[in-house]
Amino acid sequence: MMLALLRTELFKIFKRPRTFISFGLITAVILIIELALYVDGEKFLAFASQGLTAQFDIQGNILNGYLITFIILQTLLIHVPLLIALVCGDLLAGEANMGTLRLLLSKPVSRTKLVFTKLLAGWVYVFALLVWLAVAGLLTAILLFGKGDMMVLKSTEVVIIPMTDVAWRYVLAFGFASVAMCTIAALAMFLSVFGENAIGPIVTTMGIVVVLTILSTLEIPLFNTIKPYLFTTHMVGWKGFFDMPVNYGAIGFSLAVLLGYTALFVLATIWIFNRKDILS
Amino acid sequence: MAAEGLSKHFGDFRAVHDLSFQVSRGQIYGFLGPNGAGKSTSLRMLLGLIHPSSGSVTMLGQKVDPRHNGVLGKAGAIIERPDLYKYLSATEHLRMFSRLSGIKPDTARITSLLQWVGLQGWEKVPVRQFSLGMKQRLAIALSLVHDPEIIILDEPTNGLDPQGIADMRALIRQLAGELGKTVLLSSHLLHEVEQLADHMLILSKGEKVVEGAVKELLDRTRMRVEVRYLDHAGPLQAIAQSAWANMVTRNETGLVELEMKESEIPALNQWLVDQAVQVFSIIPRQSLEAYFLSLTQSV
Repeated sequence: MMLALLRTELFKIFKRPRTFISFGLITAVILIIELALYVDGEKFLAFASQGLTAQFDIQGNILNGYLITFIILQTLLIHVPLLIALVCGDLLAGEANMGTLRLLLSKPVSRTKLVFTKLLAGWVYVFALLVWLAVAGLLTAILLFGKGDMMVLKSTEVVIIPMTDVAWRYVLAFGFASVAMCTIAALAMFLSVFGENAIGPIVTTMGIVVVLTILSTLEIPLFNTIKPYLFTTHMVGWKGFFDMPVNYGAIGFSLAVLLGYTALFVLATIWIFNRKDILS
Repeated sequence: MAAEGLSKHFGDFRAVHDLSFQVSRGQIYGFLGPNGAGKSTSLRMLLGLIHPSSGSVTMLGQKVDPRHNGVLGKAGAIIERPDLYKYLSATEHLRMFSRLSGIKPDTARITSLLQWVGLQGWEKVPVRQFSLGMKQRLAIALSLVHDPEIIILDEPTNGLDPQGIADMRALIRQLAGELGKTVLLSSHLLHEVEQLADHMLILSKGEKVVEGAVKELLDRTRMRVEVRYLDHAGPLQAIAQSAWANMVTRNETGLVELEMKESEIPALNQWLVDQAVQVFSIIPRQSLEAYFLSLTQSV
């Protein structure tokens, strides 16, 4: 039954044109960034590494596909939650708005299973989106800019990762980003349980992500105590795979926080949905 | 299917109060009441869409619980509007709802269902292009896709044009007649329930007003019976001296009008024949709406 339900939910998600808008947007942003860097990348790199060139002799293909993908990821992973909220905020509220929720629940479908399968379908969408981001980003960047050692500029250090040591880091970084985006999907779904139309959950999800991201990045002592407990603080944990050496302890903690929030959102959704009167 | 002491309160508002009734196998059971009487809330409680504040629902011997609604595999329903997925076709809907009902989509059954509801030729067309009547017919097909024993239809003719209403009523008769289903039909139209149902329950302001066999209930009320006859000599004089005299409300040349029960009409007909009155027509004009209003307004 779960498989049949999952199949119908995936069918509904991927039958809607709006689902593919996200894929189109991601492709467009990737191509725009790559084109801009292709034309003006050397100037950008010179600006970004101006302090370094005075002290180090940097040679080789620094502006390569791996660095470009890192830049694309840094730019896009802030905006991908919006695309995820668009689909996952609609999962329950959209059905309520269309009036199809009562049609679904007048079938022998348990509410818990329905929430689970909708969320699973949402996660499949998230995963597909990130795979697309990885494939489109990495492949086109390597095609356009070639391969090379990867230079990661951080606020306090520069990390040079040998070309042969990069691929596994990207695989794990995308895996981590998938978990972070699944947390956003669970949040959007949780908010979706309250709404009778999708706009509310979508806007609220984005509002929460934006406000918490600001709190996570602001260097104000007042917020420092709560930062480790905000899921937005840990959403950028994928960058940890590009440290030398990788701090697996910190990444594991971030992963645990994200999974904890995800579990919390999922359990709360199931609890509320099972008690909800379907009035739409 | 049975409801026992079913109540639902939304805050201070009492939508349904202490509702009990029983629907027997094979019946068309009419659930009648004005708009806002609590019909849809009651039907939603039957299907586990709304949690009752108190009371319980039993379907085919199993208690309906919103969290474990496996028993709904034996029921099909249309609640209020036929809201469907606009971007899916009729066939896609039926395949999807077959899976949701726990059965493998069967192309032959889907084709025959679409034919049965008169949607052949529209199988692959997205539902956004359907008229309301077509959506309603597809919703009937969806409620039948898993061959349920009980069909719950909430105001199935709402918003349909006259032809759509006639088609829908024919479909409902077929559900009970040809397919042998038990049908629970809600409506705010008394004549609709009268035409279709064997039993009915009248609900008003969330409470049951009356319940019973439709014929019996309607026989409790008096109706206006109009007799048109051939007479050039003025009003029918004989009736004034007969047992019918106190029922006469109008007596003029060629037309006499009486107020009586439906069951008394054959005797009146016999009397007219005995009196050698040449009758053109006997037309019962039942004041159903008045009866309905008198019941629902008394609560």
